[in-house]
Order: sequence, then C-alpha cells, then structure tokens
Amino acid sequence: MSFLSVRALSKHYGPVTALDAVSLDVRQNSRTAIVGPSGSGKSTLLRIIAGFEPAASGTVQLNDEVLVDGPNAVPAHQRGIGIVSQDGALFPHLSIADNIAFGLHRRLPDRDKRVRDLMALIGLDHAMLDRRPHQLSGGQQQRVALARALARQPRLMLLDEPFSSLDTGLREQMRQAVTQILGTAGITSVLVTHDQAEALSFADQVALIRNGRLVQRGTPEEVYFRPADRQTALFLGEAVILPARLNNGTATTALGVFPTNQRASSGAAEILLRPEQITLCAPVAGQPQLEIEHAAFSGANWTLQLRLIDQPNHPPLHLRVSGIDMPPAGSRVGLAINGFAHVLGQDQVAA
Amino acid sequence: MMISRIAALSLLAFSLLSPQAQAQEAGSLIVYNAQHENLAREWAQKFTAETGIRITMRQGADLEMANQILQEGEASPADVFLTENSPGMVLVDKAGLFAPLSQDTLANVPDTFRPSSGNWIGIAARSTVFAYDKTKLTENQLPKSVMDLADPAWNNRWAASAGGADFQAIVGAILALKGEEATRTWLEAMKQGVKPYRGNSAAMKGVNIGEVEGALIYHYYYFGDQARTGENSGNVALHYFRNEDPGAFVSISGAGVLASSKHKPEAERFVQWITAKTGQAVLRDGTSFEYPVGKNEAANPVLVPLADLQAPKLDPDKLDSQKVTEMMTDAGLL
Amino acid sequence: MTQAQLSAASLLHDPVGRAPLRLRPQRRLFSPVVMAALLVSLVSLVPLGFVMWVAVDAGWDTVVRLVFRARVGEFLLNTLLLELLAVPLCIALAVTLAWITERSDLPGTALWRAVAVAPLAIPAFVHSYGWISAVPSLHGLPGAVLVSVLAYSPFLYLPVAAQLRRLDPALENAAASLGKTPAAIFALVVLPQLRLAICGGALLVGLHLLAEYGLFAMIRFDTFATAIVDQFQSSYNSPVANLLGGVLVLCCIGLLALEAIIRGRERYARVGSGAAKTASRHRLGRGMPMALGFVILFAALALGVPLLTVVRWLWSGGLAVWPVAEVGTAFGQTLALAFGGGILAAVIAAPAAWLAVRAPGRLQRVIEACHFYVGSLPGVVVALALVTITVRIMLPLYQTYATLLIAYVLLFLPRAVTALRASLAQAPVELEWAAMALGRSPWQTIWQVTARLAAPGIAAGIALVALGITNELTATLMLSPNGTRTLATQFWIKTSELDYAAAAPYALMMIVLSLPLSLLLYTRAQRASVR
Repeated sequence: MSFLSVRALSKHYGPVTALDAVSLDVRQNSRTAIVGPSGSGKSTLLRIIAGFEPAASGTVQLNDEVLVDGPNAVPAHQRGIGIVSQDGALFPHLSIADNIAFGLHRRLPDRDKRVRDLMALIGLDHAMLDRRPHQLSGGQQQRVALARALARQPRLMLLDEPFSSLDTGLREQMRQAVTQILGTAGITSVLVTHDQAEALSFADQVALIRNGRLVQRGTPEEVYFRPADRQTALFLGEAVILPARLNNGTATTALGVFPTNQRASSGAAEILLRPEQITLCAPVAGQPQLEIEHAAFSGANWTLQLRLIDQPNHPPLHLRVSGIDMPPAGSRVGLAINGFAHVLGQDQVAA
Repeated sequence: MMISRIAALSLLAFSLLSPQAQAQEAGSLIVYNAQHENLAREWAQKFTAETGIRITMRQGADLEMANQILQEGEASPADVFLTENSPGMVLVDKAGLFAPLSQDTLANVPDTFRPSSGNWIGIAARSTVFAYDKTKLTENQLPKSVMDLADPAWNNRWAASAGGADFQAIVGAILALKGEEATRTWLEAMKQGVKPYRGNSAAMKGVNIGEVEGALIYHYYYFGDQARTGENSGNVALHYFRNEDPGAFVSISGAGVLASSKHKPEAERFVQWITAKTGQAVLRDGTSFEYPVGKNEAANPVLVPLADLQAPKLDPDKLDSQKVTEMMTDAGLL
Repeated sequence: MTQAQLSAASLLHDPVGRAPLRLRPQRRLFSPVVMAALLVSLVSLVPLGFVMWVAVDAGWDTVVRLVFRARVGEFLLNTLLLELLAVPLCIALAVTLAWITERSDLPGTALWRAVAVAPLAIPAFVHSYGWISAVPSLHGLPGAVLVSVLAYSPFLYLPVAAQLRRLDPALENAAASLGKTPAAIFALVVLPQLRLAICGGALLVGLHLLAEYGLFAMIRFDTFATAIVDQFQSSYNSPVANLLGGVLVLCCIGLLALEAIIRGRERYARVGSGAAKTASRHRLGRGMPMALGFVILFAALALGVPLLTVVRWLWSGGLAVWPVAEVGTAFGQTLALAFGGGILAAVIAAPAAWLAVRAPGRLQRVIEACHFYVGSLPGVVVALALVTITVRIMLPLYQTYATLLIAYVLLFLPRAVTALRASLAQAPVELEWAAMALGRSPWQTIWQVTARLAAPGIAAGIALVALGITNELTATLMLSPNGTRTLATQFWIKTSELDYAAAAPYALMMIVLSLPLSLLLYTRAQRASVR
C-alpha cells in the first residue's frame, strides 16, 4: 500500500515536455530519492507534488487523498507537505525563531517551547534564535529550513537539492544529520538531487528520471548494480561496459568469460562491471593480459589506462582502482572479477 | 482579485471625496470662474459671509469654460458662470444654456451693459489701452487708431497676448466694427509685426523693461501694478484711443445662471449680489481696478471715467468668438 | 537520542486535525493577474486611441487644414531646435558632472553628487520662474534651452554617474597599458560604455522637452504643448487642440523610435549588478580650480537662481503673502493626491511587474510595452483624451478625483512598473513556495512575504510617482474636480498674473515636498550602484 502515489503525471512548458506520464509510489516512513541530470524534470515533479505548479494530466494521491487530478489541484497551503529547498529559502526579514515559528499557529500555547525543541533537534544553539538568516552559515541555514518545515509536522517532506550549495565535507555531514532527524521523526521524505552518490546513500528507494521519463526505480543496490540501460549505468557511477556474447548465463568478452545475472538471454549484448567488482592480479596464463599504459594518482585511487595485449584493436580500458602498491606503467597485469556481470538493456530514452 | 478590489475601492473613495459630490448639498454653489481669481474670490467670500451660501470655484479662461459648458450641456455641474469678456457669455447664451435673469437683477445694470436677451448680465467693464514705454514714445508718436498697428512701421514694436480671451475680445470688436476683410488684413499684418507675449501682465512687463515699445492690453493691469509695487509699470503710460475707434473698445465682464443649475435661486442671488451695491463696491475699493457697471456706481477715482472713453457702441451679441478664433488660427496667431 | 530529540519526535507525531481537502482548478492565481494587467494595458491605450479617433473623426480635409499650416511648422521647427540644442548640451553637462564627481579627485564628492541631483527637487516651471525673475528679458529659444538643460540634467546625470561607477577599471588599465593617453581612453573606452546610460537619459530629457508646458510658457517659447494649452483656453477640447495633440504624440513616437535605433539591439545595463572593484580617480592637478569652478557655476545656475528667487520673493512679499490657510490647503491636497496617486499607481502597476518577474513571455512584453508607452505621452494629451471621453460618454467620471488619478497613474506608470519590477526581484519565488508549504494561502503569501520583501522598492516607486504628481501642472489644471487647489496650480495662477511674491510660498512648499522624495531616490540610486 503506497503512501504517496503518482500516476501518469505529465507537464509541458510550451512545446517542451517536462514530465511524460511519470508514475511513482512511495511507502510510508520511507526515503525516496529522485535522481537525474539537470533539466530532466525531477524538480518539476517535486513542485507538482508540493502544489507550486499545475500538472497537465495525471494524478497525485497522498494517503488516499487526491491532491492533483489533471488540471485540478489542492492548493499548496492545504496539503500539509513540507519542503526544504536548495538555499533554504529562509525569510530574510524574519529572525531564526520567527522563521521556525512561521508555520505554527500564532496562538499555539507552547509555540516558543516547540521552536526551542526544534532548535535542539537540528543541533543549533538557542543563542542563534534572534539572529537573521544572513548571519548563519549555509549549513546552519539548511538546518533551520528543515526545522521550519518540521514544525508543521508535515505528512511528507520534500527535499529539493538541499545539500548542493554546501561544501563537500559539510554536505556528507548534513546528509547524515538530516537522514537521522527524518528517521527519528518518522516522516516520509522525497529527495530530489542530481548527485547520484547523495541519492544512493540517502534513500531506500531511488527513482531515476531522464528527459521527463521515469527510467528505473528500485533499491540503491538494484539501480547501481542492475541499471536498466547504459546511460543509467554511466549516470550512477563509474562503469566498465563491454560488448559481450551471452550464452547460458555466461558472457564472453574481451576480458574473459564471466557469469551473468541473466540466464535466459543469449546473443550479442552489453554487460556492465562496476570498478568495485574488478581487482588487479598477476597475469594468469590463458586469461587476457593487459599492459598498464598510464597510471594517474589521485589520493584514494589510481586511474589506470590499460591496453589489451592480445587485441591491439580493442579501445583502451579506463579503470579506477585503489591500492597502495601499484605496479609501474608498462607492467603486465591480469584482472579478477567478483560477482555477476549485469546485462544492460536497450537505452529507454534518448539522451 | 484583491488588487482589483483595492483599486476599485480607492477609486470609489476618491470619487466620494470629490467636491462635486459635496457641492450637491443645498446652500452651496459651483462657480465656473474666468474672471481674475482674486476678484472672484473676494466676491465669493463676502457673499458667503453675508448669506451663508458656500461657493466652490473652478478657475479657467473665458472661452475654455464657455466651450466646456457647451460640452457638458445639461449635465454641467456649474451653477454660475463668470467671465472677463462677453464673447464667452454669448457663446453659452446662443446655445440656450442660460436661465433668464429676473427683472430685479437686470435692473441693477443699465441696458448698455447687458444683452437684449436678458439671459446674462454685465458685472464689470474694462477698456482697451495701448500701454507704451514713456521713455521711448511721445504722445504724437502714438497710433491714432488700433488699425494703424497694421502699418509695417510698427513691425516688432508692439506686443499682445494673442492666446488670451482679452485680446480675442478686442479682435471681436474690430471684426464687428470693420468687417471681415479689414480684420483679416489686420491680423495678417499683426502676425508679421507683433511680439507675442503670454498674458497681458507679461506684455506690459515687456514694455516696462524696454523689450517692446507698446502693448495692446486692458487698462487695469497698469493700475493694479501701480497699486502694488509699480515694479512692472514704472516706465509705462496708457494711451486711450477714444473716438469710437475699435481700439477704444470697452469689454463687458459677464455673469449668468446656468439653465441646468439645481440651485437657481441661490445662483441668481449671487449674480444679483455682484451687480448690486456691495458687489460693485468691491470693484471701486478693491485691487481689481475694473470699472463697475451698476447704476450710479462710481469707479475707482484713479481711473479715467468710463463716460470719457468714447467707446464704440457695440451689442455684445455681435462679438463672434468662434469666427475670431478661426481667423486668428488661419492667420497663424494661434 | 537526546531528551530534546525524543520530545520533538513525539511532538511531531501529533495528529494533524484539518478539514477534508478540496480540489480546485489551478492557474487560479495566474489568470486574474493577466486579466488585470491586460485591463491596465487597455486603459493605457485609450489616449492613443483617442488621438487616432480625433484624426479619423475630423476627416482628412480638416487634418490638412489644421495641421499642415505655417503655425504648426513653427512649432515643429521650435521643437526640433529645442531637442537638437538642449539634448546634446544636457549630455555634455551631465557627463562632465558625472566624470568630476565619480572619476576625479575633486574633494567633497558627496556634496557635489547631491548638487548634481538636487535640481530634480525643483519643479521645471519654478526653474523658469527663477530665471525670468533674475533675467526678465530672457525668452525664446536661448532661454528655453538654458533653463531646460539646467532643470533636466539630473535625468542624465543619474544614469551616467551610476554607469561610471560600475565600469570595470580593468578595461581602462588595459587601454593604458596599450599606450593610450587618458583623453583617448575616455573617448575610446569610457564613453562607448556610457552609451546605453546616455541613450536612456537623453530619451527621458527629450520626452520631457516635448511634454513640458509650464517651463516654456513662462519663458515665452512656443512648443506643441504650449500651443495645445492655448487652444484649450480659447476653445476647450477643439479639433485644433486635439489634432495638435496627435502631432505631439507622433513626435514622442518618433523620439522613441530614434532612441531605439541608436541604442541598437543592446539592452540597458541592469542597475545594481556592478563590479565590486572601484575605478581609480584621476588627479586633477592644475585642472582642479577649473573643475571646482564648473561645479560651483552649475550649483549657482541650477540651484542658486531658483532658490534665491524664491527667497527674494518671500522676503519682499513678507508675511502678507503667506495666506497660511490657503497654502496649507493646497499643500494638504497636493500631498493627498501625490500619495494617493502613488499608492494607486503601485497597485495598478503590480500585475505587470509581477508578470515581468514571474511569467515573462510574449504577451507579457506586449503588456509591458503598453505600460511604458503611455508614460512617454505628455500630460496635456492624456488630459485632453480623458476630458473628452468623460464629458462625452462617461459623465459620472467627469471632473472627479478618480479621473485625475487615472491620468496621474497613466502618466507615471513606467516609474511604478520599473520600481516594482526591481523590488519583486528581491522576493524570489522560492520564498513564496516556502510560505505556501508552511500553510499560507496565496494572498497571505503575497501580503506577508512578497509585499514585505518588496516594500522598500514599492515605497521608492510610490515616492517617484508622488514626485511626478507634485510637479504636474497641465493634467491637474484640465482634469481637477471643482475647488481643487494644488501647489502647482496655485503657483501657476499667481505667476500668470505676474504676482511673483504671492507665488513664492507655493514654490517653496513644492520644493519642501519634493526634496525628501528626491533624496530618497538619490540614496537608493547610490545604494544600488554600490551593491
């Protein structure tokens, strides 16, 4: 039974199709990430769910209540949906306390106490209550924006790229904090982001949007290791994609023969290996051998350019590996593959 | 939605605050005043003090307001119309928009200062003069007739305020006395020879500072300035054309009650009051220096008596303001 | 989990009691705004429609007889000469002043900037009043050019000085490193970058020259505007007056087109998006006395003459010319009209400004063009149109404050739209969304968030319109309800009878009213260019 249910939602801006019959289900108390490149329509989807924009057709239901039915919709302020946007959108003319209390009823008896509890919840000092938003750091502003949205006890929390304007270090920290706070509060949340790492680490359901179409949804592991198509595979992380011949659960490639996760298929296809599945090893006779043409060091990883010795026409292979003692350029190595190779389907949507 | 509501409300509020709405109450008159504001205000204040009838004035020019009343027609908010010159009165009268005045009121003024129709009445008079620079011109160098100003010898030496109702009334007199052909020639010569000024005061000031030798204006601008500081008339003397010359034209300021007025008794009372003793005394004792026209009313002693001016006899109805405006526009003066 | 977290968590699970949700057709907020903006646009087209109707109604023969005649040729020549002399002189004056205050090391920058802007606080016809009192023989083209250049220079100084402050000094440094002399740099690098500012300011000055009545009437220079008023005074809204109005509208359109051609396809540089770097100031050295002399001379001519005249007449008139009650009434009425009109203009301009920021598009550009063109029309034309329309077909609106305010709003609509547009940009749509997500209805959101954040800009827009209304003469004379006395009309009635002493208190009160409004605009312009 889904809590938020989006059915065949479409939206156009003039001749441009922003959303093309998108459907999505979100379970109660879950975290969903909608991920896609910029311009893919993910923010439009979020704004329609929030009620800021009308849809052309399709429905949105929250907890069995219809919020959007084609061009008819419940106004945003009656939906009980919270939102935290990219730069926090704190009201610059109000203090932090007034920002947090903005959504609370004026005559609520324990208004001040709630504001203080929320400040504690987001881990900010009470001394900041009288400050103005511009006196806070970006991360602090985002926390306040979250507290402000939480004050209303929303049924659903929408997060629109809330971490993207933060520095890399702070971003990770904020993501964990927000995940924990939302979990504590038990609020169903939907995150929109263009950052695949953020999506994978935040959510228990990831939905991939490209050119206004929902391409794939599933658990983070599913979409990462078993992406629907080549573009999805490349979007979600580094990938080694090889042409292969399938036969009875194995894939024969230039790098050797691997087991696949699809027994039924046969014939020509492309298979996906994630760098995490590949380790360097000493060359093994009878297996394809590679020469390290070039190795670039970038701290945690090495980026290698490898040439297949037996097949001079094969394009060089780029591989990110970690390790402390990397053989020098010119060395010959072999590759060991862990797990299954994933068979990619045809691209569902043109880029 | 709210925006349009606010806009509508504020428009409504301002409409309600409009004096027009206020003036609909009894005991209050709207006067379209083309007379000098100071004179009309003095009349209005004294009248209100005596009768308790309040007066709201709209200030304008003779023919502007006459034409305005014509356009407003039955819906005119005006109760009384006051002018500096008679052509504006004639225009409204010919359109049949004046209510006839009572015999009592008409009897205040001799019949030379009112039209035969009895639909309006003279309230003051002013004489045409040639105000000249006495440091430059001697009496024998002055024009004998206003028609002489058409002589090229006068080119660029005389001034007039062609846009004003005063001057247009003078042209009306020329037209009535000399005919269309002569007037057209005179206006064309004027276009070549006149130095244009805006307003009679400005023309007289031009004479005073030596920009121009003479100006065709009314007499009271000189006396008014002399009574104040004399700053704009120190070098100026007045030449009266006399001999029933068009230039000796005496213009009649008029008052009339609008037929559409909803306060006719109060309106007529105001007109009667102006033409009666107290109203006319304002002309004698005040700062306007216009001639009173009431029976047996003496003018301010500094003025040349009206009877000595040898003004041409003219029925005010014969002054055709529309023709004058047309001819002046054709001559390129307007 | 901390204690606070626990209690907050429990608090968050409170059931939310609320009414059942109802679906409504969307775009509710959108379409009334478009409708309102379209309505305003339609009303703004009324004067143009009127002028066209007059031409058609009169018939071609009448048009030929009344328009194609020598007198109209004189007006055209006068107008052309005035534009050709006054606009370039105004540009030269404003650029020189701007360079001295922004790029030279003349001490007292703040003072000289204020001096350069201050003529704005003196109505154009009070400038005239000052000059004909000081030099009674001043008249005709030389007088008209002198007084209008002095009175209207701030319209050019403000944008040019702002642009000079914003220029990136790197370009000038680059030119210097390429061996250019300072004079060559100014001509080759600085001046071209001022082009847009000069174009915009020159257009404004040019339109004022076309529209102004009081200044030229007093200095005895005949333009279309003075001729229309003359005609109005001899025959009310006669075909002659109306057709001259049509010719004047054509002149305005010609000027707008000319400016568009000169400006080319470039857009005006946005105010406030400046480089943070400030350009170096040039050492005047031995030129210092000359620069100082220049600004002092400007101050003497543009401020000294009118202000001393007012003081002189106040002094010579003594207390006798202070009919306190009358001046007070006129001041009160002017204040009420100025701010009533200002607020109304802000309300009426709001839909178009909102569309420009939130929903730009083709329709929006048409709407905006309507809002802007009407502001370039002279007051006398708008007044003629409204007089004729109200007296003939909308009598209940005839001679009401409503009509007068509509005229004011139309005349100063561009000022309001510009200010509101800039101020709405201060309230990003994300904040409105946040407020709606926090339970505010759209109207509550506009009131509590958008209007609140845009308030300073809205106030500036109101001030700009109020300043315009305070100094407006022709439309006020022609449209006022009976009994209306504003400072400007009373001043005008007194000066028409050459009673300069009695006019002085009204001039003083107009300056008193305009000064804080001008100051507000000046400080806002300063802030915008610093930011």
